[in-house]
Amino acid sequence: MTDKTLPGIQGLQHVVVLMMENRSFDHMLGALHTTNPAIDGLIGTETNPDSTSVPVTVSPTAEFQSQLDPDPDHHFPAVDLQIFGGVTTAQDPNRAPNMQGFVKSYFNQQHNIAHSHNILNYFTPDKLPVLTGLATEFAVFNRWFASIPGPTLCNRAFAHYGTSFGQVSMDVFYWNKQYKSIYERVVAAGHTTRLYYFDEASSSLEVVNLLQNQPSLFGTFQDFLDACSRNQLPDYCFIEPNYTDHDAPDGSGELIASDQHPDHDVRAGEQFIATVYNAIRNNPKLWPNTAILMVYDEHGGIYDHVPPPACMPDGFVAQPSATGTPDPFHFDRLGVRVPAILISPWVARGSVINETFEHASIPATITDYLIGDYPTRSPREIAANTFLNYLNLPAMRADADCPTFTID
Amino acid sequence: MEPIRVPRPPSQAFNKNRRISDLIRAQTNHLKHVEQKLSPSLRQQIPQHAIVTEADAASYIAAMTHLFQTQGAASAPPAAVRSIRRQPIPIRSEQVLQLAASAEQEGAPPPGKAPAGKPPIKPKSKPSSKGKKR
Repeated sequence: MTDKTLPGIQGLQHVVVLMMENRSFDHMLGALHTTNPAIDGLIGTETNPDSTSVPVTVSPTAEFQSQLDPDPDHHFPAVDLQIFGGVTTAQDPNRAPNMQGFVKSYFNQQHNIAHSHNILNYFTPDKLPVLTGLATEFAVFNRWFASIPGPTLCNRAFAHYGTSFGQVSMDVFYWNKQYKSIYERVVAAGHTTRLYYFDEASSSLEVVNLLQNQPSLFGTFQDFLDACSRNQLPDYCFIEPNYTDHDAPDGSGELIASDQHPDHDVRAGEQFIATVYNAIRNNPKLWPNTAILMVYDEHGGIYDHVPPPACMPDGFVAQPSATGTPDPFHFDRLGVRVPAILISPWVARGSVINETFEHASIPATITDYLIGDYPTRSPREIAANTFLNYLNLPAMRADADCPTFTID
Repeated sequence: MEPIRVPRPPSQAFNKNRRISDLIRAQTNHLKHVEQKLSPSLRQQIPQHAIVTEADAASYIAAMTHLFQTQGAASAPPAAVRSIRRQPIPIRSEQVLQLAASAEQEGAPPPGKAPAGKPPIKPKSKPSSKGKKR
């Protein structure tokens, strides 16, 4: 439950969630363990066996682009291999996640041993000044996991609905199901909300039903920037990056993908994150009363060393025909850990959050903060932790104490 | 605190001819599924090219999204978004979007595949907003 006696909560007016694409915690933030041991990153000696059983060590040699091409497999069977190292339930009914199958999984795509080692590469902090700057200046989550050990759309569904309605794949259509989206709930409660996709050519993922039937819930990234400059930000908004390289429809230039999905250039995503942050940080009427959560939808098949924990079953079962494995899935284990950062001048610098979160925590938090009691939610969402209580400083940080970004 | 500089990607990082990922393929398949429920007059507005590259996908997605934004609102209950108003875009009166809510109901057929072999066609309508340019 959100503690509404906290000064940072009492003044809170807006929550902004930015969800990026397909990078694991260790890949993006693992190197921060060296400078802050409280951050559960990489020691540097973690290994995975390759297809010849030779142990391969993690390497701080991640590149902005071209290193993870082809896109690492992150569908359910591949993630099962990544998490359990190839041990099946037939071999061991009590198998435990060991995070030992990432190199084997990537090898399966090209059968190139040297290339398969790239899946263990991670960025040094100097290459990601925005992400690491925000993680060290505000609050980084040590235990934010994807909701499902599977691909993008079913994971994004948890951010919108608190469930994927039993789906573990990319084939999802949700409409008139038993649980309403967070946007419908917020609107029904008399609050304002928007999903901001980058532009019409990039559009929105996963919520085609909402886009078709309630298009007024949506806006473009330019609309978001305009809303910030006019002090008209909705109570809750969700931002999607640009998912494709494409020409601007008006012929004014090239629009590079900013989602950081492999093989898109990670620097474009850094600039996008900084643009979102700056739009709020540089507006003195928004900065004191806005909380930003930036998070990634899933790990994209890239290595992380923390085994996903068991979790509250979701009340659904995905049969083997859907999981692509010999076993059904009861939605009782989270996906691989992803980067997540909570940003607000009411968050203490260098905070490290050790509670477990997943994407159902997003609608859980917004529902708790804006609506209150709302029982018609998935078991996973009802059980999910909420995150606004980390806006817990007794006084707001000074303006000069919070970073700003200069975007080239 | 000194501002933190954020470098831009090099120009060669942009590649609109990159083959689409599984993610974008799923996105376009979802839209194709909805498109199949539209009236023939509305479908005529949607480009029917093969979707192989990111540019192919972007032009198709733009056309579908623009259609939703300009016409879907007329058939949908108003959302309580009071802070931002979009500029109205004139539409022809006969272009009434047929709701495809049945597309999302259980038991609906799987998303269709993009027709192949036709050249890309630009969307007729100009998208209303643009983002950060390089």
